[in-house]
Order: sequence, then structure tokens, then C-alpha cells
Amino acid sequence: MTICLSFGHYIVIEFNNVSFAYLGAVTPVLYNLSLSIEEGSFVALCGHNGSGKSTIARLCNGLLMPDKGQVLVQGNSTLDKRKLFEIRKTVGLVFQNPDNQTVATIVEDDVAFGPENIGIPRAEIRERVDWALQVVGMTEYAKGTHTRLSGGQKQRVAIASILALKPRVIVLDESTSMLDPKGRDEVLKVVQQLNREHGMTVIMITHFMEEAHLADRIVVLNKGKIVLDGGKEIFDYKDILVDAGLELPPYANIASSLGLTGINDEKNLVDKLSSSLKAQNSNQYVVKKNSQHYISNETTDTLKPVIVAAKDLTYTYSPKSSFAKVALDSIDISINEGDFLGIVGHTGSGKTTFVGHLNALIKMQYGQLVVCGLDLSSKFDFKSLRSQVGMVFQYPEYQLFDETVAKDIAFGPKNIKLEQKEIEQRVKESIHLVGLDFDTIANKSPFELSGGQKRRVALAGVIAMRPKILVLDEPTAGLDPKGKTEILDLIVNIKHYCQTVIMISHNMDEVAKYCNRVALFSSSKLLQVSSPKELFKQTQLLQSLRLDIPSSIRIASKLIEMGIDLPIDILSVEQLIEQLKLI
Amino acid sequence: MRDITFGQYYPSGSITHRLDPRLKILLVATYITMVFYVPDFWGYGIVAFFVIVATILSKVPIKSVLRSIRPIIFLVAFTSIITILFYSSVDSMPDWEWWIFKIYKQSLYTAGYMACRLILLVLGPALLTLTTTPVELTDGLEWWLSPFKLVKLPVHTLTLIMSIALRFIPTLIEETGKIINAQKARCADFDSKNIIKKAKSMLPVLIPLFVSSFRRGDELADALDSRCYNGAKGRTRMKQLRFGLKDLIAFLFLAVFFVAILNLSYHWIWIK
Repeated sequence: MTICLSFGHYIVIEFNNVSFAYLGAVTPVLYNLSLSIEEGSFVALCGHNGSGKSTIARLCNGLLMPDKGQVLVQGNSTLDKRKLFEIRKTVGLVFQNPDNQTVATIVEDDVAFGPENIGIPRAEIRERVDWALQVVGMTEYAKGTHTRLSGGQKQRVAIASILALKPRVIVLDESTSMLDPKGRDEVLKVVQQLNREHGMTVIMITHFMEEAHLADRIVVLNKGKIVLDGGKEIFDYKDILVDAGLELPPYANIASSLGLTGINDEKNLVDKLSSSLKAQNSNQYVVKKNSQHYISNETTDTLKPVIVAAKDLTYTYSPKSSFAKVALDSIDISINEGDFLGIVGHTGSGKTTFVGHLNALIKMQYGQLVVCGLDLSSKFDFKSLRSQVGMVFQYPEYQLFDETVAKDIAFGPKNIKLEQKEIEQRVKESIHLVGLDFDTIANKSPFELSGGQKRRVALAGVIAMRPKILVLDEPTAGLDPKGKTEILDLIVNIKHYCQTVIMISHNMDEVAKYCNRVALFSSSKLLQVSSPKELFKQTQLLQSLRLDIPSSIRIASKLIEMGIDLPIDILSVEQLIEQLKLI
Repeated sequence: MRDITFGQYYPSGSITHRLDPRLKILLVATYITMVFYVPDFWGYGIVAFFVIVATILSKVPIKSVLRSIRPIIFLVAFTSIITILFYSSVDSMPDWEWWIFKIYKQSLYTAGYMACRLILLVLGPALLTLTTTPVELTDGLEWWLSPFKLVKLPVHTLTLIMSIALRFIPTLIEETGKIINAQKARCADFDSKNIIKKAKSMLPVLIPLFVSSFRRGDELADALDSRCYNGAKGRTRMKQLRFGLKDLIAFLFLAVFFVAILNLSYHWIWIK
């Protein structure tokens, strides 16, 4: 691979044949890795979970020390203890979890913590804090408390805290992975601005290819080795990327499937495609807008029995107080057995409050709600309801607690007082359903598993109750692309057993691909329930709510605008590729 | 769970907020001493007056301040009932008798007295944390503890630990709520009346909470290191503590208050 040298010539960070293994681990995380980062560049470091990305981040500022080789920051080795603070002032790290990197309750106090540590005079600390907060656009929250901020705002404060040390390099270790799309946009904007306007060197560790796409240089890691390093041309190497557990951004996926090369963004793809298609069909080309419809096998079967029926469901947080906040405003919805219902909408739009009603974690206040034949507005059996409505929360792996995987999964079935034999049977069955091997995993401690395995075990713990409805709150949050696809495929498989699936998601590509119906929430109201086709047709509505449009539909509608004859309701990139191949 | 207000800062920029934290710590320390010193309800009147004035000046909603009492309501009720039912006196006859219980007027007085003491005891420190940011609080505390630096006590580290603890209270409360919900969704029963069962049922909440606290601690340590934390050595401060006119006035107010209470106990000055 060629290294893009169009930026500064000064090398600010240099890895020389670095090897690193965690204490007690047999295989090293990094093996003989060399990498140079030029001043002023914007580098994306990509790889699957466990590929060594975060280790690299921690090696950059001496939080970890290489076992072999050395890491040089502006020529100083991180092994040199006397230079450690110099290095940490130069290279600032922003971490993944917005809650775990703040020291002080008040925003400005937190930003001041770094400069205070390195003994900056009082007046200058004030200047630095004000400047840093202004750069990330958080000035108005300077005196606010940390708990009241959104995830995106918290991460911007974390960036400001690092900026106050006036670093030359800022390393973001999956800093957007726990944020909603809005928060992610906020953070990415700040990062791009830092690179462009302030000349800051940015190393962004990510497994989102859409993010990597923002960088000038993309370095791909696989099992501790660099497998690709270059500009956007690395997207031409689909096989290597897939092997590294990553995926192509949708535009590059389409381009590579159609054998197009040298495409570097979505617009470029649309231009190229439309010009080549027009040239090809110049004689018989007829503009037939939206005439044709992609025939999908996903149809709503209204004949199936209704399993959830809500009427006029209304909920207010802390009613009667001055903080009263309406979270659900007369929701009417009926969900049929066999549905794969997607629930979309911004953070705070009422999605979570709604699903919390389904298993009575949130006590109904007003309206009617019947779930699995139980009327929740009158007296009902909690255990019967909760065993029928399985709920998988965000990051469900954080709820694991028991000594062994098998015991943890048995927790639910035990609570509903099943017989020992039945419990064992169900534990076996659910471990199998989540794609794990019973014999190797059942007696392990859940805490010694990998992140992806933990999530599967947590999922198994819910399906061991054999629920009729499975509710999932962002089941793919924080996973790498390979992990995401695996979990979603698992859910499709599990759906054969539990019939009805309800999934909250911010990822519209997922919703378009997997759901047969979508409920759209906005400001505590249910705006509509429709098929994904109908929903994603309404591009203006989605844009006005600042929600994403699935990439397949975004690209297709641009092509249609250019006069290409395509159906508008293409719900996945695969379908789009198929259609384009036909033309 | 969300009603726990202890350690939660309520920003309003009032005069109570702007007082020198060192003075506020002194105020609260004296206040607590007072609460124990007060001999009768008159004294509690003075103490209550003091905390009411401070609350009104702070512009913190009265409700938030009162909410700090909630966790001790049970304790107050329990001690009151026990006092009323089992108070015994040899000098006087019971005023009411019912089954095996003998109730004296004096016991009602004592119960009320103790309830006042407990409630006032909580209100003062609660108001302190509501009106003082953890950083101010730690700076103030560090100043008061600075003599201990002479005997090599790591005062700075201790106060930083305290401020981090305060910072993480709301985060951990939120997390506890999430874990409880997740286990409830798996039909966990937290409403059992049986105490042993109840304690056992908390394990599925406490273990994940511990695990995640350790994880958070690890990550926070990395974040501290990344921001060049090196203990108190060579550290500067953005905010300087200043003892101003308002602090002097508050101090005088406190002095008058202190004398008034002591007077109630020792009767230095006779007011007829």
C-alpha cells in the first residue's frame, strides 16, 4: 500500500516494530507493528473488536508500554519516564464511555483539571478553559452539571478537557460508539473542525466505515497487524476489509459489486453511474419515474392475531410537579403476532418509555394496553407478563452476574419456578439458539468471555423464558460490523421461535433490511406505523425530523433524480445492486 | 432512587452558592454541633430559622431540600414510636395506658425532640452539597485539613477521591436503576417481604454494579493519567477561594447564632 504523504512532513508519532501482549495473554495483541503519523493528518484506525486498535491508542501516550520496539512522540520514547508528561501533553486521549472520563461535576471544573495538573498559572487556565469550551461549542454549559448533558455533549466536554492541555495530537478511542446519531454528528463535526481549522493531528479509532471515510488516511488492522494503509482507494480491497471484520461503506460496496473503481464518495458514484447508464441507453432511454416497484416478500399480515394493543396510552414523568414531562402522548398501536416491528425516533422521543410499558416495568397511568391477552390497566400477573415479553436492554451484557453462564441463563426460568429438568433443557436450547457451544461455554464465568459472547449470553438469558414477544433496545450498539450482522442474523433466527420481535434502532439500514413494520416516534407522539417502504418514501418527513434515510434509498433516490429508472422502495444495498445489475 | 438529593449540586448562582466554601464548611460543622447542643424546642426554633434563611437565600426549591429527608423518614418514625411506647419514668404516673404500653407526656416531648434533631441534622449538610460544587467542597475541605499535611497525610488525594465519589453518585444511581429493570424483566422479585430473600434478591443487582464500578474505575484512572494527573505536586487552581464582605457578614450572623444557642444551654445572659 502507498502511504498518503500529502500532508505535513513532520512525523509526530512513530511506532517502531512494536509488539505488545497483555499480562497473562498467550498471543500478543500487536506484533512487530510500525506506523508513522504525520503532523496535521487525519488518520482513521479501523479493525474489528480485539484487533488491537485501543491498545495502539494507549501506547500513543504511554498508558501502556511496548514489550518490544518503541513508540516515539516528537522523538521522545514513551519508555522514558522523564518525558511522560511532555508526551501526555502532546497526545490527548478521548475515551469511549462519556460517563467514565469526567472528574468534576461542573463542566468548567472538569475542563480545568488537565491544565491545573500541569501547573498552568490561574489566569491562563481560565483562558484555556474558555477557549476549549468555545471550540467544542459548549460555552453556554460551562457552569452546568455533567449529569444533565446528553451523550454527545459529554463527549464534546471530554474533547474540550483534552484541548485545554493544548495537545498536538488528539486520539479518539471509539469515542462515538456509545452515542446516538445526533451525538455522533456533533462529535464528528468538532473533530473535523479541529483538524481543518486548528491543524490538529487526529487519530480516530473506529469500526464505522462512514466515519473512517472522513479521514485522509485509513489504516486497517487485522489481528494486530496492519493489512491496509492508504487513502480512500483502500475501499477497493473488499476482501481484505471483510476478512478484517469490517464492511465497505454502502457506496463503495455498490461500486465494487458493479466493478467500478476510483469512486471516492456517494456523489461521485451517482454521477458515474448515471452518466454511464445514460450513455449505454442513449437511444432507447425513456424517463419513467417511480413506475416500477421492487416486489418484496415482506407484507403485513393483518389476519394474524393482535398481540399488543394500545389505545390512548399516555404517560407523564413526575406528574403534578414542576418538572412534569409528557413522555407518551396518546399512543394508538396494534402489533400483530409475527411482526418484526422497528421503533425509530430520536433519543427522548418516547421509544423507551413505550417499550417499558409492554412488560410493566413502567406502570401504566392512562389509556388501555393489552399485551399477550393481559389487560395491563387492571390487575394482572406480573410474572406471567414478564415471562411472555422478553426484554433485552442496551448493552445487556452489563446485567450478567452469576458464577457460570448456565446459572446466569437459568436465572429467568428459575424465577418463574420451572422444574429443574425443564430449566436445564431451556438453558441448553437458548445457548444453542444464540450460536454458542453448550459444552465449551456453559461452565465458564460470564466475565471471562469476549464482548460479543457476553451479549449473546445475555440474549440467551432472555430467550430462555421462551417469550412470545422479544423486545430489543438497540441490540447492535457498540458492536463492530461483523458482530452487528451476526447478532441481527441471530435475531432473525430466534424470531422463528418467539414469533414477534420489537426492535428499537437508530440504524435505518438495519430497520429497512429486517423489519416488516416501523413505528415512528417524535416528541412523545407516535407519528405513524407503516411498512419500511412507505416510511422511507417520505424523505422530507425524515429529513425534517433529522433522521437518517437508509443508504440504499438515499442512493437510489439520487439516481432517480438523475433520470435513472429505478424503483424507489429499495430497502437494502443488496437489492439496489441487484437492480443496477439488471439495467 | 432518583430522589436521592445528597451530593447533587443545584446551580442557581445565589448568595448561598457564592459564599466561600471554607466558611460554608465551618457553618455546617458549627450547625451540626448546635443541633446536638440545643436543650429545647426554642433552640430548635433558632436552628431551623438559620437553615430556613440559608435555604431561602439559596433559591434552591424547598422541595429539593426537603427531599433529602426522605431516606431518613423511616428512621425518624421508628425512633419516635419506640421512644413513645417504651419510655418509662419512675417519678411520674403514665398519662395514658393501653394494653402493655404506658404513655407519658414526657415521652411525646422526647420523641418530637429527637425527630427534630435528626431532620435538622440532615438538612444542613444537604443544603451544603446542593449549593456547593464538589470542587469547591474539596478545595474548602483541603484547606481545613491542610494542617494534616504536616504529618504527611495525603490530603489532596483524599479530597480528590471524595469529589470523584460525589461526581459518580448520580451515574451509579442511574446504572442501578437500569440493572434493576433488566433483572425485573427476567422476573426477578424485589418485593419479597422476607428479609433474607430480599437480601439474596439484591445479589443480581449488586454484582453487576460492582463489576461495572471496577470497570469505570479502570477507565477513569486512564483518563486521569491521560490528563497528566500527578497528585498535588506542582498543581495550580483555576478558582481561587476568596473571603469577601458577604462571607464576613455570614460569619457574624453565625457568631450571633452560636452565642444565642449557647445562651440557651448555659444561661449566661438572662432575658426576662
